[in-house]
Amino acid sequence: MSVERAGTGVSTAGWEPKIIGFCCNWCSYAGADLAGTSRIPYPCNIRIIRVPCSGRVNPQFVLRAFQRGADGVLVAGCHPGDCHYSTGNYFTRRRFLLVKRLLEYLGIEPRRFQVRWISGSEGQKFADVVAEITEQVKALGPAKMDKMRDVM
Amino acid sequence: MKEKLSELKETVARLLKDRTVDFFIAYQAGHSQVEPIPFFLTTAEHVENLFLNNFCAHNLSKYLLDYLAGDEVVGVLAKGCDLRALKRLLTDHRVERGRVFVVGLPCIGIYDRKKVQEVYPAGLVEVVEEGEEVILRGETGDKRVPRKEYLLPRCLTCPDHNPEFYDLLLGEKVANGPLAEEDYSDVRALEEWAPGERRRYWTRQFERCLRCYACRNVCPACNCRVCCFDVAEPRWLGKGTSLDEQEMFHFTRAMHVAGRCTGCGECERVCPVNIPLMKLNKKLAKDIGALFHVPQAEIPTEVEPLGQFRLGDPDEFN
Amino acid sequence: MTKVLPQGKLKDFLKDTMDKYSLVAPVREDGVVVLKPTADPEAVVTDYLNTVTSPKDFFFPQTERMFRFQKTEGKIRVEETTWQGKRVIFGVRPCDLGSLELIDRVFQEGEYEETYYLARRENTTVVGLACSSPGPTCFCTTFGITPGSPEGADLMLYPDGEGFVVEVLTEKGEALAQQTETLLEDQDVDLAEVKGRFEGLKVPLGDHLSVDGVAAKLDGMFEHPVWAELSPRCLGCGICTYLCPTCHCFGMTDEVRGDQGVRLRCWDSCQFSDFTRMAGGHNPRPTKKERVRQRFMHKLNYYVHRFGRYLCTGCGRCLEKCPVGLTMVHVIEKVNDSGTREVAVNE
Repeated sequence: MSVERAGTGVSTAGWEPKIIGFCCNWCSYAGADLAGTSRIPYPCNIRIIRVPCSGRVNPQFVLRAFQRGADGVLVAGCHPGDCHYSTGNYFTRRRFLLVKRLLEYLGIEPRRFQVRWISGSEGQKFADVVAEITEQVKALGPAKMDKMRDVM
Repeated sequence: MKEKLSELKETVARLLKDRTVDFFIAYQAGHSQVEPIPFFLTTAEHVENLFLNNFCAHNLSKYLLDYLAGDEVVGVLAKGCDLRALKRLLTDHRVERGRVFVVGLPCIGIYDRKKVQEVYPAGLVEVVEEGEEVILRGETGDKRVPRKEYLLPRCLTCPDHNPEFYDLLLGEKVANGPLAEEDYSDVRALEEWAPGERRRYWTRQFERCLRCYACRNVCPACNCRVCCFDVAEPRWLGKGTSLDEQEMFHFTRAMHVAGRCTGCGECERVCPVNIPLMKLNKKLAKDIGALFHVPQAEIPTEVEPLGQFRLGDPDEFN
Repeated sequence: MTKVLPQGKLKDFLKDTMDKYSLVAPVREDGVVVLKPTADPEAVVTDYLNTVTSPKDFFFPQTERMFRFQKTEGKIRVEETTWQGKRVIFGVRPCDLGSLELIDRVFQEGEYEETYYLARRENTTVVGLACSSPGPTCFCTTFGITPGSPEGADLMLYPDGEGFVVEVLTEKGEALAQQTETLLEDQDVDLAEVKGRFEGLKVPLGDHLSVDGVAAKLDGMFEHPVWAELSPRCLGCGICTYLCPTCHCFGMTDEVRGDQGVRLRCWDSCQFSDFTRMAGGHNPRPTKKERVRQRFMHKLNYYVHRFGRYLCTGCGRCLEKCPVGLTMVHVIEKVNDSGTREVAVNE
């Protein structure tokens, strides 16, 4: 067979989870900003990637994030009805209802992938969500077992 | 189905002679009885080599994509499932209805070559249907087996024994009605497993993948002008075959046909290494049915389920 | 006296092999028998016509990491990857044994030697397994191979009654026989007689299919209508080329992330539409006709001109797996049947 598998000996000592957050420019990114300016502390495990709309998030981004080392992925967008482009997040909702189930079906622990609606005024919610996910992913441990062998 | 061969020959000869069609796509005999293969007829003389039996599984309408550039009228033989596939291409505005001449073929089920070959590795002469049973008649004797167990999976839950539309129908319509209800039992069984077990299961499947793209090339829903797997930039998928690329391929393929898959199962049928692709497609179909109330039998829909939304869609992201 | 491995000692044979070598063997997985690295002798099967995937995967892997590179302070550091280890591939059928010799010529002969391939070849011991009952898709005899041909094996096993008659063919085979010495019994068996029995086995398809003169005939068939007739049904997938034990086309690609990367050599298939697509967009093989023609001309004509042999060993994988029956047998029959007189002479 063409694919060879490598061992996944992983030590968790001193490990901190890496969480990728895809945040929509208009709401969730502003929410993160508000959390910052309001000096609400939240775990620094999240790495934010700003996207124009949560509808921009291709399901492939999520799987790739896991494959390249993320322990958790968050997709955050405006609340339904609040989308800057009117309807973008409604499509997001349909798409990620499926993606979430498909990833789980493929055996990826469901708590590692989450979608949340966070508005520009919800700085506290942003901080809470990040804290919650970080805690959950920490409890799950590194996603190394989930990760697949890479060509690199 | 065999009994319709002479009518098919007459029909195709006529269509080619009076130039109703420029060429016709049907079946010819292959290496053995269980492997009929697609056949492209350009003159009426070719009809002598036409072939028809209960193993004619290929969906011939996918070949229409090869003739987009010209202006030929293409005749195509279509069973109910093939017609649904053609409807996919029409709905996606890939093929013009006016350039296809559909000869409909009522069908009560196609046999699964792999299953039959387990009983008859070689030398099968014909399959005779007798109610709930079939007789596999071969050079070394007859074997009587339950019909249901030897059909292609798609035929068990088939809602269209007669094609939905056609320009001409071969023979009479047959009684419709699926042999079994689609209960997604195989998907549900897998959902019951622990995540780690599921991970191992899919890892084993993806590890075997050759990335030959047969599943994509045979799929009527995979009809993009340029496939994202065939472009170097942006690099959605590397050329290398590591386990993560294989998974990315299968995940992407499944998502790209989500809500568009007609459920024909051709992908699984042609896979050389038995990857259960329909377990992915069906998982999505099941969830689309449950979440958005679009049952598999209604696909292709005018606007695909992931290309639209309802304000009242379920929301679990608060 | 001839060495015989009793059927009951096969698992021990594999176990002893694993003391010194890593093992690649036929394993049944989800209804298909694949060749794959395994550490479990119990999982190894011998009741297969042939494995779905061919042994070429282990000499010419689908993805070869040739070297890594990293940019550090304006310099580029290149680190070559070398394949190490001692491997045994167990249960290779005569057709696939023959295929190794055909690929050897490509990677060994001429000005350049393919070091990645040769390193694997040198460090792998191939254990052949003669075929007791050729199947409906087998046509090895068309290409002068028989169900008992050991050419290409280091050590050959001939199933015989309650065991396997062993023939040691090379030094590597001798080393493996020594490693498993305690399991091999000396018995009064006539090796030549056993071999003769396998060589004489009927291969229904192969016995009736001849390639005599096909290469020469194809010289004048580049523009023959047969290609336009055969190719429309092709799906353009890579099943035939990827399962074929003799196909050996590849492409090279860099996988770069940040300031580091790897150069990969990956299988490619002449049946893919982008196989010959140039950077500017031009494609010299724009349709299936050219691509199908290329595959069969390569096997039945171009390779013959270069190396004097046909690039096919009659393993039957394309017959078994091509979803549309565009197989070697079908093409050879078509070429045999086609008249060449009415065809214009090609330049």
